[in-house]
Amino acid sequence: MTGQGSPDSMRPSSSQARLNGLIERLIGGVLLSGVLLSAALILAGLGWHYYLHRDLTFKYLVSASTIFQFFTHDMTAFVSNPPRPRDLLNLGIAVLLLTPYVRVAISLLYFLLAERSWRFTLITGFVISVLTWGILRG
Amino acid sequence: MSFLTLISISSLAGLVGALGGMGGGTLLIPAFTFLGMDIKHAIAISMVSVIATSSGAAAAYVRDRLTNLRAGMFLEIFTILGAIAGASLTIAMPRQPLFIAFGVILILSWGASTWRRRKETPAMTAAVDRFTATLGLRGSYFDLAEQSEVEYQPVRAAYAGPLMLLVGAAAGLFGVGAGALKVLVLEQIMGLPTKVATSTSNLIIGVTALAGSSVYLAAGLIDPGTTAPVILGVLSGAFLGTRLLNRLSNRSAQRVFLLILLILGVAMILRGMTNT
Repeated sequence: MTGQGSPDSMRPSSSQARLNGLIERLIGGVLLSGVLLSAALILAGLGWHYYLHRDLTFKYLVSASTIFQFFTHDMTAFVSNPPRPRDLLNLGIAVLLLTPYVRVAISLLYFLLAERSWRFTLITGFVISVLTWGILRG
Repeated sequence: MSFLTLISISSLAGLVGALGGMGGGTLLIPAFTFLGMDIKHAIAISMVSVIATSSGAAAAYVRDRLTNLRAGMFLEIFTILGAIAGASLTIAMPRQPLFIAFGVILILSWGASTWRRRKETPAMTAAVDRFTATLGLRGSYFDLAEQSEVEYQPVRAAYAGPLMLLVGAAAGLFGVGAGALKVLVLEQIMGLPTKVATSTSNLIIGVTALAGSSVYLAAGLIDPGTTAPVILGVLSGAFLGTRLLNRLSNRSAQRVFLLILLILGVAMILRGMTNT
């Protein structure tokens, strides 16, 4: 099944191909920056903790039971109390957990607005609903 | 478990996993349990680390235009439902059968990888069925080795979906990516070219691992103090492993990895049969 000799109708149009290239770069960028940001936040949290306590062992449990709560608790802790290294650690994990979620959200917009494919808008909508339920449920 | 143990075990798992073409979870969980960590805790932490390694790899693949985004999205319907069911089962399950089941899945992964190595490119025999045609999954990618655009038409999406429900369940149950099983379905059932199957599997793994992680977080099994160093370790190990892979002979790295997989599989089953 190589490209040679296949009819043109089998290939996506050039504007479609450009659109595909754009969404692929965007999704790739989101995935990479999510992972890097998460690692950077964790590293910063660990470094800060080591600077304060000369130790790298963290022992604490999270009071949240959903990813959403985990994220919001952390943000609240970060702004209301004097920030602690563990807030950065939590934030790093939250960013990592939300990375695939953001990827699906972008795909949803892409299928809805750019490709206007109702089938894939529906499919992606279902996937994001299940993920949202997982993020919010207690 | 001390910070040093956590980070060194997880970097090693990431490194060896990358050399074997898998995520770190498969090796991480047996290693952690043998060092005394509760198996459910190890599974939950591994599930989060799977998001890190798969997203890192998927980013590169997607930008190289190797991933079939539509096929991935369609199959994610099934893998996330499977992962939620699987993770919920792990939480409810007694530990002994969990050890045995994990050992069995390690041996299955070993079998799947060994079998796959013999068949390099999947034979495209089936004609495109109506259901798959409706989804519009046809794709193409630029093959660097052949210096040409390769077009392909996926098939049998209606069978791949329900199978992915099982693969997703295995991923959620054991806190791993189950990449070998996903690639198996993508190649052998849907007829995707190897490169597209590998990269699409990576994309699916991230979302599947998120679905599983949400269940484990709700069960209070993900503690940041342990999870954070493991994320860093697995990521750096996988990063190093992928770079090392280009210098090593692919086959010898695979052979060593497969042997480790088999040994760990047997050890886990024995552990489940004796005591935890």
